[in-house]
Amino acid sequence: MKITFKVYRFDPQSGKAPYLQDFPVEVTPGMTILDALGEIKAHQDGTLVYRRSCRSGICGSCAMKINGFNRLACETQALLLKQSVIHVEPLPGLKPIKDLAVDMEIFYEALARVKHWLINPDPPPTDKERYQSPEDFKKIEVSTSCILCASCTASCPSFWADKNYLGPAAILKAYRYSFDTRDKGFADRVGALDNKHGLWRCHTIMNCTDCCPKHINPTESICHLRRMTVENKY
Amino acid sequence: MDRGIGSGGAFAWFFQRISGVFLLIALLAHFWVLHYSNNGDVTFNLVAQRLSTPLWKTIDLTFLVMAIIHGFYGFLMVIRDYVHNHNLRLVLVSLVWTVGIIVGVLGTLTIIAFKAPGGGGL
Amino acid sequence: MRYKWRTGQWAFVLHRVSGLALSVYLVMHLYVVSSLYQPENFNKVMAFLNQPLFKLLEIGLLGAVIYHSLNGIRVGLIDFANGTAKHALIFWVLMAIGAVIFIAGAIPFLHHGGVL
Repeated sequence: MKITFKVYRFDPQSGKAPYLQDFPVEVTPGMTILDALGEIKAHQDGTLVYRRSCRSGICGSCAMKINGFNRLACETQALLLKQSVIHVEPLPGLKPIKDLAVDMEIFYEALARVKHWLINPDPPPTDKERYQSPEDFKKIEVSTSCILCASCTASCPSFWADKNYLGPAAILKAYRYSFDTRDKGFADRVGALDNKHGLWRCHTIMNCTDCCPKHINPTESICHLRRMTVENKY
Repeated sequence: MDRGIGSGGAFAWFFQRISGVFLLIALLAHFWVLHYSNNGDVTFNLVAQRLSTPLWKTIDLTFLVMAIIHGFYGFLMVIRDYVHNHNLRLVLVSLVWTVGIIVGVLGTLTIIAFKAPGGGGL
Repeated sequence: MRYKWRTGQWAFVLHRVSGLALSVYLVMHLYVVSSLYQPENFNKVMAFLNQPLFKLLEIGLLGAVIYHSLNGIRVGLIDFANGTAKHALIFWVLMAIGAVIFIAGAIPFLHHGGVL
């Protein structure tokens, strides 16, 4: 089946405004958006820029806005969208660098603000690693599957309005470590969370949860952290 | 980094939920008393009768304060979300506070200073 | 292409719009009620507000109040009762309840106002 891909094109060096370019592609069953982009790059226009790495939904590089909705290009089959025209655009809310590639700097900066790593001042045992029971892992299991593709943060209207807002991905990471039984760093993170660019900017719009390719529920973690913050404070 | 105006937002968030629950109950009572229990006529005498008891004065005063804070916190929240220019934000936030306080004083005076023609009142 | 509008985003935008409208109404309402200092004044204002136009506006007010209240309950369920996973279902159930309340409330309202 012939599908027209309307692909967002932008080259800062050309001085031209961004525009949508049509690429007709013969789509076969099972073909993903990423496959179609590869087809376009190989046979129609070699200058097309997009990020991809693993092609199997693990690396989180190819998140983009496909038909107005953030998804992984490698996990979205073109025929399953049931449209003869498919819009392929970069993630909204982040600055496009070229074509479908966006500047992820503020996304990573937000992660660093919540210290998305294990914080535990106690020295680790010398004969083994820091162990965690399977029950304790269960509590954070879903949130550990985040692949940092930025679909959620880039779908969040609060993030569109305030680029200093941590965004669902960073808050999910804060949750993932704060509720890890081996971690003792909540006190170090609360400053970034209980902040006007933190937890309180979320208005439970649910776009993040709707689009997460790993079916994580960042809103739930935000609500959890908010309740915890309020309980600690009042 | 832009730190904005005011506190982080924990209290505002929490208070919006608490006052929301209160307003839900108070509004139901308010609607019922005013529009359905008396066949829908709002006359001076009916309101006067109600407002001359200290209990109703207290209820109405709490209702007034909660409604104003809830509503104007809402305005502040919208300003926080969308207005990033420091000066403009300062102007708008001051405006919301000013209007809120004026309306609050007006409402409080109406409730407290109210005296039914036949005496009564506080 | 703009970002797809899902239930949650509609609910949020309507919540904000109805909330702002209710705040503006609150200001006008308190201004009107402040005419209580004089009985004649108050009854005059009430008679003025009894026109069909205001009755219709009050129907809009009723709708805004019902929507804001019910979606407020939804927000509460999301925040405190793990309602995130079922937020869309909660929304539509509450809206169905809201529609019933709205009709049940609007009919006697309009009837009394002489519109129906």
